[in-house]
Amino acid sequence: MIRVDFTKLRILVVDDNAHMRRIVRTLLHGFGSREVYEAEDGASGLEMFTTHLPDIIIVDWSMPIFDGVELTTMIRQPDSGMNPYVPIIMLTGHSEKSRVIRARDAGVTEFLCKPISSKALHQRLLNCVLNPRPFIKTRDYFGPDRRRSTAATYSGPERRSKTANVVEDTANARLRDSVVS
Amino acid sequence: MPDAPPSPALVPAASWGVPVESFTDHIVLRPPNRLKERATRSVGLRDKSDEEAILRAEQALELLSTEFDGWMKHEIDRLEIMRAAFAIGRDAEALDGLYRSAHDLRGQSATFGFPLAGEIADGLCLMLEQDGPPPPQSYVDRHVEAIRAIVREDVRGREHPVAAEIVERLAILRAGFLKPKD
Repeated sequence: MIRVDFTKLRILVVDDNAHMRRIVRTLLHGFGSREVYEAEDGASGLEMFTTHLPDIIIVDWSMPIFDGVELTTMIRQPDSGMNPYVPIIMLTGHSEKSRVIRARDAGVTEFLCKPISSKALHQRLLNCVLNPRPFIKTRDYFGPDRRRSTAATYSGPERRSKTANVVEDTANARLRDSVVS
Repeated sequence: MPDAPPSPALVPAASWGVPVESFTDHIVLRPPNRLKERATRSVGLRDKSDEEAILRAEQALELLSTEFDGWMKHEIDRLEIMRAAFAIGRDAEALDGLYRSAHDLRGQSATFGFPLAGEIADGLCLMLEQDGPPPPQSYVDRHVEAIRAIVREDVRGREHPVAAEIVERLAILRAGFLKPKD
């Protein structure tokens, strides 16, 4: 059996609300993390991403200057000199299906709804370290494989050959159930 | 199985030495999991360090919770300021400020011990998120007043009958304003 050693993880928390940053930092310290950096908006988050090279980023959606989805899009640049594969956990009060899909299509690795729980955050962090998905690049997407499992019987739309950003997908309900818990 | 070479436009210039599988309309990149190599350790079958880590984090949050009442008051004071600004201006900037404040309460109230306040904040956010004209000021005021009352009366949990009734009545009020979703 293997366990994640949180003392070796460098984590960046990007949230404009100081109380929420303190809560997340407290949970991360409880898990054993010592190297936790904080940024209070998307611009500072991008700056800290380039200077501190975190292993995992936890990002809020609604923030001033640019939001969590925009920050994710800026990081997921395949030709970037910085690590475009860094795991990104979207921690947000938005739980609507359309928001989950937007975050996924921006390249978010994991989605976590507020109110935050210790167990749910821990599980998302373990997923990032132990079960990373391959990355897919199409003409209009670069990010973790949006299909969480490979099913031989997949009958949904073949979005990799399409240019539309929003695709109606019968797997959406299952996706939401799997990420919003 | 990989098939024909992809369009050159699909192949990242800087692939970080990541193995690439090429398909006609997409490529699959499998970055080596260096995080797993660096930040994991082997343990015995009876290891309970994951459960202990979660417990430690919950205990740390419990210690921090002595601060939550003050934080909730701070968030509500901020909501009140934003409500007053929205009542005067009712422009995009005022709406954005009110929305951010309500959105923070939606995400944090349950953690702070006031889940019903979070539900009301969620309803306020739904009205502010809707395209078209902003909600009537009286609707905003009722939501803000209800959140303040729940915290003032120290209504924690979801079982308080009057607070539950208020949440229900506000939902009915909102239904008259919110457009049905497609």
